[in-house]
Amino acid sequence: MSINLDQALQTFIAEARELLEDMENSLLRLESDPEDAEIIGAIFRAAHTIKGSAGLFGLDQVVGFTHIVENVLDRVRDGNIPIESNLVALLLESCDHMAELVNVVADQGGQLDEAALGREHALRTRLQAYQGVQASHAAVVVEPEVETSGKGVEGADNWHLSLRFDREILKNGMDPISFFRYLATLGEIVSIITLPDAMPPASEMDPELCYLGFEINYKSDADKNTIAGVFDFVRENSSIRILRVGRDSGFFRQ
Amino acid sequence: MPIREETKNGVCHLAIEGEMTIYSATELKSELAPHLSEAQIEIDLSGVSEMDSAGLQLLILAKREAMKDDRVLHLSGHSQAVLEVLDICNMAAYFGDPVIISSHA
Repeated sequence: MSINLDQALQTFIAEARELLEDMENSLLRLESDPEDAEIIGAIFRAAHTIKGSAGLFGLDQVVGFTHIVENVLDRVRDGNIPIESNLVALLLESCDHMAELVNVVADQGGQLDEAALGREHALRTRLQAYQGVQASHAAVVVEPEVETSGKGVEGADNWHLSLRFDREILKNGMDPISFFRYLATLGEIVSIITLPDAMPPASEMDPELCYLGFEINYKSDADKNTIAGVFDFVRENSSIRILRVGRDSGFFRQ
Repeated sequence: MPIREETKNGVCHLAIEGEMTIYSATELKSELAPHLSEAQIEIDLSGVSEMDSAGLQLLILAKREAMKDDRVLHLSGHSQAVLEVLDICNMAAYFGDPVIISSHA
């Protein structure tokens, strides 16, 4: 058996460091070009990917802090918060803190020391001020993601997830079942159908490949990006389709 | 040898010990394979400490092979680890065996 237990986590750590570096470079570019939607989008996606992948490894501290950063970036992206130098400075400091979280929590398996926790607290307070800016305009902000189809859905939306993972997923140290456990933390798995049809005859079946497909009826008030983000780490060679039941005209293909 | 085998009254009893995961899947499959053509099989899962999709797949494979030829395969003694996976993947009905407790019933 050639699987390294830590392989997937190491991949995450390397990927997260790269994304944080990209984020930092993009933030610096924003100072001179604050309106560039492409840069803003790239920064948002980097934070979003880090949060999603960290969630798969149960790195709650990374998820918790990155979630707040992502939230502010989402509002920047939607044009609800203007880019100005104070905000860029705050986001750069937040990047540094995320890098520290990745080093300490993900890489060393440790806990933040008191000084780092103090820095995080101060950053959270400053970030929340930007969330407040948006809240004061909430009355005029249209949030299409939470509109319902008038079919009696209350609060949470219904989703259909159709998942065919990369055959090699298990060898890469990931387990589809761990995705379901994570999905259950973002909403409710109403029903799930496991499809074994793709499994070849016993003599040809390779026990280290994943042949199972899954159709899931899911209820969550998370938006499509958040749900899709759960699968960011396995998108390659997988077919991940996420459909809002009763609202989408067709399957959303990643 | 994670599988113990014993034949009693024409029923092939297999007991799987330890983890049923990607780490043991190859060994488990090669140990299960010679028994998959038995007329009556009972797999005791009380000693299964951990299970992932690879482990679930092997149970599905065994069941499917049996059903294909109208042979009998039962699972018994499901450990907590097995119950949790059958529950998450909604596969208890596929195997059709009595399950004592469900993790969120």
